[in-house]
Amino acid sequence: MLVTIYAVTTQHSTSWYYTICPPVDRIYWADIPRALFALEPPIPLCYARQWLDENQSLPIDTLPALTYSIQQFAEQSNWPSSLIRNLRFVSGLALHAFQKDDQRQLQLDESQWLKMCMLLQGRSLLITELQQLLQHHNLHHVAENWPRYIQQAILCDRVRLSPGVQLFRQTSRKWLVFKQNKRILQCSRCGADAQHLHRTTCETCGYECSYCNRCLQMGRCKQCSLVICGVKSDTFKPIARTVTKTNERTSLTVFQKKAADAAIHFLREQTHHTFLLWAVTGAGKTEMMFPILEEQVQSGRKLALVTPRRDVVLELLPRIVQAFPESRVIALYGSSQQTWQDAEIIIATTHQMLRFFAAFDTVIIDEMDAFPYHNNPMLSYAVQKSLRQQGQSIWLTATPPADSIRLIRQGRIPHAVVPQRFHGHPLPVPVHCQMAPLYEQLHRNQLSRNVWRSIRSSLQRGAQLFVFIPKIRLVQPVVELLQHAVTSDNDKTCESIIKGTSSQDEQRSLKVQAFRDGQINILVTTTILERGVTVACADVLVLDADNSLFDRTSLIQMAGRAGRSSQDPNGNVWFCSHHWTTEQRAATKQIKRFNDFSFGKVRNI
Amino acid sequence: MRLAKHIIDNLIAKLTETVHKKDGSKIVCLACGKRSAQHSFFSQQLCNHCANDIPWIMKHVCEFCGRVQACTDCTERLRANGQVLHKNRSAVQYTPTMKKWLASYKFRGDERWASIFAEMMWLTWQTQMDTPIDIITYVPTSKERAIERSFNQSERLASLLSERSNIPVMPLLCRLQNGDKQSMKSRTERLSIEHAVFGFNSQALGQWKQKSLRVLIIDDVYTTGTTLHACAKCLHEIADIRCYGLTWARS
Ligand SMILES: [Zn+2]
Ligand SMILES: [Zn+2]
Ligand SMILES: [Zn+2]
Ligand SMILES: [Zn+2]
Repeated sequence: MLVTIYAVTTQHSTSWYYTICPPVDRIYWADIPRALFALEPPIPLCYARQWLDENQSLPIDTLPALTYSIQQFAEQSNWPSSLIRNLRFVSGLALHAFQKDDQRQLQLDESQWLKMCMLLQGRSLLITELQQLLQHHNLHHVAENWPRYIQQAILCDRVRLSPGVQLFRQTSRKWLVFKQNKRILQCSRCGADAQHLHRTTCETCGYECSYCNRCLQMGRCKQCSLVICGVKSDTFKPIARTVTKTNERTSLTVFQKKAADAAIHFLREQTHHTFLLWAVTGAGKTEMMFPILEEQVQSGRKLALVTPRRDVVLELLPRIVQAFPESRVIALYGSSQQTWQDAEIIIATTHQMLRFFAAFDTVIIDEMDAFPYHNNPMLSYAVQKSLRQQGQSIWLTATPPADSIRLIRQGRIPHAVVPQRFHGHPLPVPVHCQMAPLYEQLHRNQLSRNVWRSIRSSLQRGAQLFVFIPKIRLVQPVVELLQHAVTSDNDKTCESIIKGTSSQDEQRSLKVQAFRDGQINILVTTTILERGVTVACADVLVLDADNSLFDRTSLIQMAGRAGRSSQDPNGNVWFCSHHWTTEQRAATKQIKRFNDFSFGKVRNI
Repeated sequence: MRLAKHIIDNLIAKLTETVHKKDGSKIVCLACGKRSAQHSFFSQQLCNHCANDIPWIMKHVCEFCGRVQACTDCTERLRANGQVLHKNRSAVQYTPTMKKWLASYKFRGDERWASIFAEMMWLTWQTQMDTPIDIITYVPTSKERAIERSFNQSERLASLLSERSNIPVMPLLCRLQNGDKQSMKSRTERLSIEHAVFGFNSQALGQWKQKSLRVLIIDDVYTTGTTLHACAKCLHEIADIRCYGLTWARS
């Protein structure tokens, strides 16, 4: 999308604007006797924004002087040369595009315009998304003539435009002394820097144009594309809502109650921005969330519940709908039907946060250390952007990263720890099981005696077994190895169904469901199943636990699969490895510490 | 104090940079998104594992269109129109995985795929096309589609192939009208479109003096061949042009 830059001048001052629909601006400025100078031809938004950012105070002299200064500026900041050549300032605003008749055609439907502004509040959308939103709400006239409606909203400061990929100036120091001014490109939607941006010739604007590869799955974000951000009007007042008390709250354990109260206190005080809720695997996080949600809905604050996995979103939706019948609750994910609806409580996958801008008072983030967040600055950027200025976030996790743990121990971050599972039994402590490296066992086609003893004891007590291995390509060989071990054992009680799955398995969800239903006894898998799958009576066996792919976090998560239900609270966890590594030791130590803490043996976590 | 902090920050930045560079020897595969130590033999952006699963067309049954299975479309078309498109070759079979790759390139708009696809087509060109070529051209898209997608997928491939082969690429064709989206139509529907969709772009050949030309038309997928044949027919009627086709996939 190309925009026109123009200056509005009085005797004393000059102010710069850009417009996507010049006639609207012309009408806007018509009553006020001021001189307008416009730049021709229209240029990509990215450059227009740069000019406005860096030349707000440029005094107007003459048109040639202005033309000269913009050409100078463009050359300095490496605008496309085919663009620079044609740049010139003219007096008045796009006269050729504006005739008397247009005034009637430019008429805006005021009620539709207001509705559009309401709908856009707190959203951050590309043009295609904007059109979908408008079509969904039956604003067809607006959808067809969006430039003038949006331009009107920009002039009234109900909407702000930013380029999909923006250029801004960064000052750095070379050898600590020389100041350097660099202009760097950044995706304004996901915050990606130059390494994720791809430069190419663009048919939309006709110039060299960078687009962002990192957030590509949410639509193409380019230098010339518009990101439309709806501004929340100041008149917005929270509407308090009544909530029928749910009985979920009464069933909380002491630790759960304490944590929920601490979180609610944090939300009421509003002195800090982030709160960390460190709850062990199987602590009953969802149950703890209910009192927090209740508090939020009662005070009329807008709330998002973000989780990395789609199945978790779908699992949470009916429970929350049931608990809050008076509130509108929607679920957002890749192919959700509710994407364009408005609601008080939004349950979403993390990527969906890219479509929001200063929308929420509170964001609750589940499993902050799980795959999409872990080392992914895009998603934390998106979450930060979706929060209002005074917004607060609650991060839920079972395995916080090391620096967060340090902050907790130093007491520098508001937090709560839930060291105990909802059934009150201690966490199963991992036991080391000495074995030869896995490749050796596969090579000899013989399972280590120690490992087989563990598996047999697990099968004999009627438990299902998770077998975690480090590499996808070992899944099938290990399944065969286990099958061989089962058939060669004389004991008939060990006959069992063994299946393997990985992220590359197309039948994964089927196999996982079969495992949940108890049709599979042993499931060989990679870290893909370290979270989320819960089976009532399960044991955990980690093979090659000394592999560098298994760090403290994933070892704790895998160990957390055992002993989840109150019928079978004491599952077994074996770390089978040749070496007893620091990561295994750290994971075991952490689990033991949780148990000690919950039974009052140590005072600090 | 502040200076000291600054120095330390700088040092840390330098250190992390070197660590990252070390990590840079590993490539991130465009298809599976995983880090991998070895890249495929033809592209830095594809891991060995994904490259091994590519369903290359090594042996074709139909001499005309390069299909793996026997096809009746070609013989019928030959009887009706005479030989307009002399030969078509495609790099891969259009399997579900390949469909996913193309969708990522064409619909999602990840242009990093262009160089991979062009490289694959270049391999096919070298091994399976023995006729010399004078000019490369491509199947045009309508202006609206180009603005919507912000690039023409075939044009990108054509210009990359031109770089590889040192044969000039020229926009010989233009689209006369905007048909419905091709991917919506069924196979029979697409075969039945007879009216002219493409026109000859007379400005493109401006200074070219050579009388008879051999032109290679680039497209992403050869489904029924209607598109390529319409292009070839258009060029064939205008001048003494022999047309060949090269597509990335053959369904
Ligand atoms: Zn981005
Ligand atoms: Zn562009
Ligand atoms: Zn790959
Ligand atoms: Zn054929």
